[in-house]
Amino acid sequence: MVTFQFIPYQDIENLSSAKRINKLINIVKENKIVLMEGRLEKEEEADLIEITMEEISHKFKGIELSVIYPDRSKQDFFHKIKGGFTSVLLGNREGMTIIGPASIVKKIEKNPNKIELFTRDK
Amino acid sequence: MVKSFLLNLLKKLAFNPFSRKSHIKLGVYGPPNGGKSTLANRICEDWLGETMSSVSHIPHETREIIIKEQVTIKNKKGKELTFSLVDTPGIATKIDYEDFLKRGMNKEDAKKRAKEATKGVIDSIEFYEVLFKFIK
Ligand SMILES: Nc1nc2c(ncn2[C@@H]2O[C@H](COP(=O)(O)OP(=O)(O)OP(=O)(O)O)[C@@H](O)[C@H]2O)c(=O)[nH]1
Ligand SMILES: [Mg+2]
Repeated sequence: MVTFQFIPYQDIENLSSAKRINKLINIVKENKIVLMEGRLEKEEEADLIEITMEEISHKFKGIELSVIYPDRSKQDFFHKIKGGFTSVLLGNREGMTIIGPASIVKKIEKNPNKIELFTRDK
Repeated sequence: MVKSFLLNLLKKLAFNPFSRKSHIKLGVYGPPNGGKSTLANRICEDWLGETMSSVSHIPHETREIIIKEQVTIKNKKGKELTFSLVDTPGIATKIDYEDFLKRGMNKEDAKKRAKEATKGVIDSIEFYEVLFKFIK
């Protein structure tokens, strides 16, 4: 059975980077797949990978991570003309981040119109 | 992905490479098994006549940062460009110990490789972050 846990943006909005990353890692280590509204800062993503590497063991193989921007083409166009105005308003709330344990999630494929998450056959 | 990034980087360098004297670090970054060491070797072989990294079809062959100092290339007019070439461990979000086993490695080697690979990823990220701050 695969369990998803949704994390709305307001749940992580006011957390420090360290706490935010910890929260995510802890859920993933419970063998759940995180669906997080929004996305991490580049530095946070790097920290997340570092911490993941430190935690790798026989039981914990690491993570699969994917960030999805809805309607990217429009957004890019909008960004171009508005000079990043939307991101000032929405911050990192745009998009969706999926993080799952590598033992469960084989890969996450992004297409313009859909997201496919492939799980491992046990 | 790695390739296009590198091609772009090389293009940029090729565009205006001999105009500045400052010290340049040319780092090769990307996911495991992407051909980073092959590319680094290629550059190194072309200009120094030696290899710098070991290449393998098994991911995480490079588990330590390798720096080749003083790679000097010359253009036809005799102008020189010297840089350090940096080959880095592939950055991954998971280390698949079983994948090493499947590729015929024994248990002990696979375990060792997995352990070194996790450290390699951390080193790569940290090296990259330092470099990035420096550029900023
Ligand atoms: N087909 C093809 N194979 C390549 C190319 N470049 C490298 N390879 C092969 O890809 C495999 C991995 O190459 P490496 O250079 O070791 O890759 P790497 O990015 O350094 O990998 P790590 O050190 O594990 O992060 C080797 O089997 C290479 O022979 C290429 O341009 N085309
Ligand atoms: Mg390599």
